Amino acid sequence: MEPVIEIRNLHAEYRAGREKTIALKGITLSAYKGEIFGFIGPNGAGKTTTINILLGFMYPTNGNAVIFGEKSSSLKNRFRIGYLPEIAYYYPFLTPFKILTMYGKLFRIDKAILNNRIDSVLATVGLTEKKNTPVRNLSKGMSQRLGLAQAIINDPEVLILDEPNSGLDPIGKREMRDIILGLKNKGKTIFFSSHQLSEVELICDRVGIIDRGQILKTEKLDQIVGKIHTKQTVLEDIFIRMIKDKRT
Amino acid sequence: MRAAWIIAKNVIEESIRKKEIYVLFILSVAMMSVVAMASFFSLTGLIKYFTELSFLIITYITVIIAVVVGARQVPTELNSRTIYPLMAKPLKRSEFIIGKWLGTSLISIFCFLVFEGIFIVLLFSKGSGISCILIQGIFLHILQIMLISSIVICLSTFMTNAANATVSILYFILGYWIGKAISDALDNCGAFLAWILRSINYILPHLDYFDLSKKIVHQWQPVPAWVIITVMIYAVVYISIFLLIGTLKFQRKQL
Amino acid sequence: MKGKEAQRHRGTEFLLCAFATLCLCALLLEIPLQFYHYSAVSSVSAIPGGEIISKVLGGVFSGSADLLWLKTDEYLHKGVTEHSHCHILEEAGIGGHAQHKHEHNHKHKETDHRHELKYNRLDMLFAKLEYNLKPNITEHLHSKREDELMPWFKLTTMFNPHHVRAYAVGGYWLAYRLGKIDEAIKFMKEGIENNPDGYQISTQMGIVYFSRLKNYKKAQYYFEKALKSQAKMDEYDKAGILRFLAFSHKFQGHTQKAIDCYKQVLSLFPENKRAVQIITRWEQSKE
Repeated sequence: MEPVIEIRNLHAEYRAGREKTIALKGITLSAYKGEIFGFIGPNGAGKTTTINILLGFMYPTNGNAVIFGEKSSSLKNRFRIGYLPEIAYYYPFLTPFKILTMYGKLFRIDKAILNNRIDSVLATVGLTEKKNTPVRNLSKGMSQRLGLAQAIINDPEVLILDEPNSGLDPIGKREMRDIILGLKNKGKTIFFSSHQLSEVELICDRVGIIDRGQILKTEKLDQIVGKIHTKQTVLEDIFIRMIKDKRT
Repeated sequence: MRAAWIIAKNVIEESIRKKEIYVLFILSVAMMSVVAMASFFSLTGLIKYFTELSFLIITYITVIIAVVVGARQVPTELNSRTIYPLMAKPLKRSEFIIGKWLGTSLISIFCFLVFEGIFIVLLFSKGSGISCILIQGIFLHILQIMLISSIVICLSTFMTNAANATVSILYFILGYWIGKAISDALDNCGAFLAWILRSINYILPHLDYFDLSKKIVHQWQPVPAWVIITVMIYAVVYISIFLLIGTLKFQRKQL
Repeated sequence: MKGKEAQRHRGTEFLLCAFATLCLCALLLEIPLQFYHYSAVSSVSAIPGGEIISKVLGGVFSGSADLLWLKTDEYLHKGVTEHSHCHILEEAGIGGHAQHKHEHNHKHKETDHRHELKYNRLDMLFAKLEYNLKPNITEHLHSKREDELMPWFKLTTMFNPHHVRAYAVGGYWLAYRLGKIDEAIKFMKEGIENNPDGYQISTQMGIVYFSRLKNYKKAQYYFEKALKSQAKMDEYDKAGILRFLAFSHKFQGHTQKAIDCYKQVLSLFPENKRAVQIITRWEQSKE
């Protein structure tokens, strides 16, 4: 299969004054075309740092990240990528329509096409009725849906979702899951970070487990879980066991 | 540059929705009205005093608007995390900085022109009119606003809001005195110190080059065109330098 | 949280840096903070720590008043103030007032080549820009627009009610240049109330009554008030007031008092022949 996202020997560190924190210690992984790749790990494991490097928000100290065969953060790539941040905040004074118009214009989408696209993505995430409500008046769940709407406004080939279920109620989670599966069915590649393992288990094709800046395993979900397990808590058990083994 | 314009429009839209511009607008109109209506020893038709104080009020209020709007641009985007979805779009960091500068400059220039409009109306009511040097003064002031906005945006890439506002306002005040202070100091210092002082003199932008208020107040003849063109080039050079520094600083920044 | 704390810390650092820069610039600009005395806010000294507050605020107020006072001079000369680069232009012989200075300094320049080497083309460009952007030729204010000076006198006294010169000079301009006698008297009365020892204002007031209104009694009152002032007065000023007082007495018919005043002038300047002549003339007229 053709890898869309390739991360090779990625190292990263944070500096706060003289203090240095190593965030990534040489991680390597790949996500293939048309799959949902679940990137899982406990809080502070390095998931968001990896995504930040993929999008060019941060610079690695070593290694590289490639999307579609070129530097992940290149301008060309950004036309093909959609990104949903972990905590999505949008300009509170703007309405979803205006936000999507602004982002759409950054993708240089033609005005007539953009208006139709906005209506379509708002319908996809269920925000049609809130089209002209200022963001400051939207609930957290609605903001998260708006986040997803802005991530798909350019009809991207790759979606990078950082904790897409964070702050959502069970109904919201279900709807988000359906939207993600719908996007997969359209042939999108989805790179999906989460620590909500039940969600990952339900939608991912492959998973990468990360802890303390190191990849513990990257495999197909059914290979990790194995054939002996049948119930939904399985991934969680394996995950906890793996983390404990590594730390001890 | 289309991306920069989109960012600029967003800055303008945000500024229009904030209260501070309206507060400053009311404040400046009130101050200008007080200055226009003030009576001294039953004298009428005092134009120079009115022009001078109105120019002072307009200059300071416009600079405060530029500083208040510009200083928060990058830190607020980072603190409110709105920068993440934005920077994931096809937007260069340089376009982001230029857009922020353009937006800050445009909103400040718009406010400046509104203030100038009010000033000119009051000036007509006092029996005076528009002179050529006044138009030159307005043009140079627009350049000054753009220069100050570039300084503020440059500083906002690595300073907090409050620190940026303090340093920018301080520089705005001192920027008028640099030339004179250094020139005075040059007469009484050694060769090495003189070299340092002169380097500072060349490096730091002289804001007094954008100020024609004294000539406007005392109704001088218009300034030669080559002077206006030179000052324009001077402004463009400094604006480019500050935006370049801001971009380089922002490009190296880990978001 | 750590990030926010670090940001706050950085903000404090920058504020400190800004404060340090301000102090440095005050030194560079040689702002004579030590000479500012509290004036407009002296009542603050009644509260604990008020002395410091009043010194600081008084400094701000009186400093502002001084700047406003300088405005009168600037207005009088069509906005011309000291130029930072004028000396460069003087050496190059550019500019109106620079030109005659250039001729004046020519001899000196021939012997001193240090300055000629000191300035390069960039300096010259800066200087030319400054020359064109700021008022550059001293020209006295046109008499029809002398009223434009007056707001600055008033504002100076509003910021510093103890600015004696502003009251005295403002009073002079109002009465003599603009013919606004009533306004001049009102303004100077306010000045005398705020500065009972400001003999310059009382003197000016006396002169207005003496020469403009020919009210010698009132003039006498203000000249006497000026002489009673506790403020330091040089002998020229004192002699001047005594002369006016002498004539005020004389025009009211009090010749002996007038002679006594002139005798005091003579005691200050024993060589003053004019005083001797006047005393002799008045002595004779009395007989």
